[in-house]
Amino acid sequence: MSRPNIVFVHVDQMHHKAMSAYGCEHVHTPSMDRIVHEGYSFMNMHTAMPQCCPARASWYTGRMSKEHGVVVNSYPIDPKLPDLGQWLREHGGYDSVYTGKWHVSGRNLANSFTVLHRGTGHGELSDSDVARSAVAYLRNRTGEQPFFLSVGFLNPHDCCFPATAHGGPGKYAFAAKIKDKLPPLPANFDYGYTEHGMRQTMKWSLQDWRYYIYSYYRMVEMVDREVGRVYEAVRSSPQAENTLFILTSDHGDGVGFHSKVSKGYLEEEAWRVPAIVSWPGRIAANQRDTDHLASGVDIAATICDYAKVRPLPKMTIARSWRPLLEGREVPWREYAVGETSVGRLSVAIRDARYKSIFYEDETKLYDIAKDPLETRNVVGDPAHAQIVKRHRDHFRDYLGKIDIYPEPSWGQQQWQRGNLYRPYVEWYDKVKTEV
Amino acid sequence: MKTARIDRRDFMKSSAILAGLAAAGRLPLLGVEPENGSSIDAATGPAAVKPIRAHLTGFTPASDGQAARENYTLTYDIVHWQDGLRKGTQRGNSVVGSLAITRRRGNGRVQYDVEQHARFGGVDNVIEAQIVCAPDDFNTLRSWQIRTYGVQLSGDQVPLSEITETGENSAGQIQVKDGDHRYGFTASHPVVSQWTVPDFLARRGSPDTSVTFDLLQDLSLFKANQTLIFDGTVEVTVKDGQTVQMDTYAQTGEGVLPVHYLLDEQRRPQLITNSLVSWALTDIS
Repeated sequence: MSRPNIVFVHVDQMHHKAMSAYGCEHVHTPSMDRIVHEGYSFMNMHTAMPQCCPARASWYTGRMSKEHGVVVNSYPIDPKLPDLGQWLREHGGYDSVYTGKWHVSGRNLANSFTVLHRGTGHGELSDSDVARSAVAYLRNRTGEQPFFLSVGFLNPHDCCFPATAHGGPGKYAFAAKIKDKLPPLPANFDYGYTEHGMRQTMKWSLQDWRYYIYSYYRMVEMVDREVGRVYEAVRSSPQAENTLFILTSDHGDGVGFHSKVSKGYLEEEAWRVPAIVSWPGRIAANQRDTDHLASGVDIAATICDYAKVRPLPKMTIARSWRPLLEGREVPWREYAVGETSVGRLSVAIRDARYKSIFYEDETKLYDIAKDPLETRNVVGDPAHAQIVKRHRDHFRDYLGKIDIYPEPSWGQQQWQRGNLYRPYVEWYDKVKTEV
Repeated sequence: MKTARIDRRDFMKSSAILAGLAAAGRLPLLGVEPENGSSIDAATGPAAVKPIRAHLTGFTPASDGQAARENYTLTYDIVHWQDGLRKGTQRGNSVVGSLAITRRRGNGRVQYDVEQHARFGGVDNVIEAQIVCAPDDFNTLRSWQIRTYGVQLSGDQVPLSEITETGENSAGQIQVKDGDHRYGFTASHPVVSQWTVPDFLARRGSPDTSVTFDLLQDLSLFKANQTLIFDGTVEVTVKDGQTVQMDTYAQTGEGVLPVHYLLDEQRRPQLITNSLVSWALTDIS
């Protein structure tokens, strides 16, 4: 069989359960529901790092943020690393095509893909045009060359703008008129947020919070319809039988869980993301995999596998999902890893049941199976001491596998948020040598 | 004098909730916000124009012509709210394009011609549509053709960017096709487009307005269960500090952030605000 076409659609800042197919009662997502019903959902998928640029760089290189160098937004990717667009073009003869949000800092999109549309920073303004450009490409393209089409939607990332009460365009004062439509606050909402919450939300009223959540779900619905346009075009195209479709998000959003908005931290609402793969006739429909821990770096490994090209170099922990998608039993990773340099430097280790978040000076442990909303830190419970030790071993095991991106030699004046390299280099070195 | 009646069962229930909150350390919140109805945003003026406030300082409401006629053309600026974070941009509004909606009635139908240009992403994003509607209050969609494409700065059309679709709505069964490609939706309310709602309000809007419809946004994206209600009369400050009284109508529903339509005393739909993208009337003829 010839190489398949691959359509990789990504939304931005979508909570892992913000979908009616997954039981969320506050949102209606018929398009994504359809993909869920026709596809294979990884219910325990975690982004490599819960911020835009680092997460995206991980998709396209198969490497973690402390390997590819994009440690936070705007910090440039290691120029030596090839990306999927280049790799599939050079090694698989693919037409690598991109439309919409890219946001891999330091990498010129046009050097890696043919660009259909560059989008904007606002989904409400440009997501429809991005969808149209993808649909037009699918309908108008000619020739037999396989294609790798990557589609980058913005929403629900617009929540960073209109849904900010302080000066953004969000109509917060209107919320009083639609009280009956505002979703309730999440069960783990921390009512002490006015004293120890996030800076931008400390002055919000509870109604403001609920309007934020209401707005967020409307943005999910906005992008749902755009995703649906592209999916429909894929599935009704002449190439439908030979096209793999992947949908995921770069990271989640607080949506009020733990009284948080935005991303960058390793609690589940920001770290965990939806991931669905569809290929009717080739991948079993309506599967929800709760057994296998998936990672953002797996995107590159999976796409290389299906494209029949050799893996990108040094994809240290990335695994192809293909055997799982095709129903084959294979040994799988025991733990998933997440990293962040936004705010407090931290690393999360998640196994089938428990999750640790390691900071330089503190550790938190949650029993995710019993406490999915992460309300009880059980790190001090002696009964869980072995769990923490095992996770620390996993942490060291992980550090032994990756090539840690060193502090670059170029000038600090270019580091917009300071030197964020040295802290993790020093911490990781210390952890690696722990006895 | 009004007296409040306290139901014993409700009182017991409330007491139990308060005790629970106190035990959870959450009781002080009730003192902070007993009604749970305030907003940090409440003092920033009419919510309906919040996304477009900077633009309004240079906005002069179109005063010639009248809406609620059978034949007219509305021309809008497409106004974008910017956060000012990108190089070369300032926080506020900028005009990114234009929209012309021409309505004609005759032969037992209403026809709309739409031409929209929006410049972003390095191209002029063009939408051209011809829509045939029923001559009912909503101007319910019957059939249409829409062509979309991009134009580069050089004036050349962006390769592979063109889509031409035709569609029909027959008793709520919506079918869209482009050659062999077809897709559809099922509606349970009157089906309208975002380009026809202003006419409905110009013609039928009143303080009693409370209607439900299904939206076929851009004649392609189906968003069911939209409600449209009267949202009061507001005073809007425009160019040179002048104020204009406008009736506002609010649309809420699936896949949209609250949309506000602001009509002046002559029923001209002057402003339509979404969240990051709004329309401001420049001409009515």
